[in-house]
Amino acid sequence: MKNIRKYIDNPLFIKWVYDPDENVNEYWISYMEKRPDEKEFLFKLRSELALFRISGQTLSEERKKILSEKIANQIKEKQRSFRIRKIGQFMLKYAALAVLFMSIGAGLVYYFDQDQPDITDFIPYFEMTEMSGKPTLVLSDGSNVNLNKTESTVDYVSLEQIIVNEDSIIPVVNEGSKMETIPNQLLVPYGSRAKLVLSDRSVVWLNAGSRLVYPSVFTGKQREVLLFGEAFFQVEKDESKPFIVRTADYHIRVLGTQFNVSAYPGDAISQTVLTEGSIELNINESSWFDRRVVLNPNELFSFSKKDNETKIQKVQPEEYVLWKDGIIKFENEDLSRVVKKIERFYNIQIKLGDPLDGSIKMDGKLNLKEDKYEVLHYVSKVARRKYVEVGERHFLIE
Amino acid sequence: MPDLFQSDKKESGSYWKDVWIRFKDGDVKAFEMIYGGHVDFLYSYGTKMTSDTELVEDAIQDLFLYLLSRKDKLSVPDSLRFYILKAFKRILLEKISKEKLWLKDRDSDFPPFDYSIEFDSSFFFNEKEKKIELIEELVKQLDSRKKEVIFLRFYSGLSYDDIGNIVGIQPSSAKKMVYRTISSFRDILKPKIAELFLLFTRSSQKISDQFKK
Repeated sequence: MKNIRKYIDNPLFIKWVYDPDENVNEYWISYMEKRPDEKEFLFKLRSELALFRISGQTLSEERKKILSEKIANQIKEKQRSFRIRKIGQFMLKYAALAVLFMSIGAGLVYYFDQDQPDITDFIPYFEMTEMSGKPTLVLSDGSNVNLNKTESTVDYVSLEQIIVNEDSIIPVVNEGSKMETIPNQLLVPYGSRAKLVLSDRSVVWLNAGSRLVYPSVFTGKQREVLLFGEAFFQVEKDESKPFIVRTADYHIRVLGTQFNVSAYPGDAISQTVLTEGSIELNINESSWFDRRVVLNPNELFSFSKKDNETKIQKVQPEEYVLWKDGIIKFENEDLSRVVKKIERFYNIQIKLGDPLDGSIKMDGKLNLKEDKYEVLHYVSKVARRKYVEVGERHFLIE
Repeated sequence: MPDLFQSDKKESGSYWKDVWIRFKDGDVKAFEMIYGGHVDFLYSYGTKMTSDTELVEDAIQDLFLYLLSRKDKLSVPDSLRFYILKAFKRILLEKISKEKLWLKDRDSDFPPFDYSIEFDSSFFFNEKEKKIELIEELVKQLDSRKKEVIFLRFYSGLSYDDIGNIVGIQPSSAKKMVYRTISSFRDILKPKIAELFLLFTRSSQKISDQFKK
């Protein structure tokens, strides 16, 4: 019995009997090799104890998944930090509500809740992979306005009018108040940029490959917009109506200030730089608890999508906002990041012959108003590489 | 002898400590890891206290909300599994008594805990029925505390201290319960084992004598 106790008091032995895995098996095999005299006894004891297998009910994989989702949702609801709903849940929960399907380029699905118009109820349904068309303004009634220029402007001058590219006037059709609750959108593909003046006179510069969803008039208690991509915001001060920029990973709450947000769905890191005032960031989906960060001027907030890590560092904000004037400036920046910016700006694709070149550190300033060949020539020279045009819009740096 | 389940990194304390810290920080992946690492055991444990499976699922749900609500008070538990089981048992028992499912006409203050054992019938050739009956009888005669202790010992990897704490008895009694049950279990099997391994037969008295040493 003494011998038995030695084993039944060893959790590893019990595990070997009732819940063995590779590690445990290996352990006992090597154990028995060292003590061959105990081998027979051990096997016998194991087969005996194995008879005492307690029957149990098990939860099916499906029930397990449903239960875990239920728990996660309840936790999130409790924390009230998760507002952009996932499409799956949305389809189940709101199938009965009005659902609008619109087809713009890659297609976008959203719905609106008539009682509570809220920009967060938009469902971003697609990845912005196809962003090579023309810059497009999508109005509440679903009509598309082609902006036709690589640098366009859109100004919501009044409730009745939108001025596009400083010359053409688009009348706003207001068929009842419902229309106001359907947001507008500005789609800015690669190779273009746009400047947008919102109804509250806040100005938003949208960089290439970006999309902004916003209402034609801010009617609620706060001014909310939804951003995919990069934009510089110059927010008009209105203390009674905070301005909120939502992105896939976090939202930014401000009263009146200037800041740049880079939140491209394809990028591993999402960044916000503040040039003036102060802003508050709330990380959404990653967390059940409000993770609130206050950013001061000249600070860069980085959010890593891979591990939900956040970082704040002091920077020269100009580097991050010069793009709106057609300039990119970089200091000690990886070639891979510089290349990415150029790709978006000119709507071209650049491959690096040697992927390791991506970490070449770059210093300098690029005027993106110049021809793409000039820019590529300059970048290649600084990196001590050469560029080759390998196809239409395709380049190789090696 | 290595320490508790050291060969399995998931069972080692520092692994779960790390996950717990991430859980406290609101990491959804950490929640999924804690959930995935415990849900089967919790369900199996819970359904031995009540046959109402929905109630067990509800208790699992409440458990996680409770864990989260305690995130600031609870720093880092030494044994996450122990902490989770202890909290789960309390939550489930509250639910059972609320639903008046716990009929107190039983033997003691201890809550119901019941199970049977699964047989690998290939083991019993000739004396099949007789042995099964005897073992079933043995398991039936165990009171709910003993059943719980043995279940926890065999399936949770918890120490006797932790098991005693959860069941509400002294760790030494928990230990004795396990020894005694295994001993009587082996007694039933003995003639069969003797056939197989040509061991000499010992009387059950002899074994229990050795037990006392």
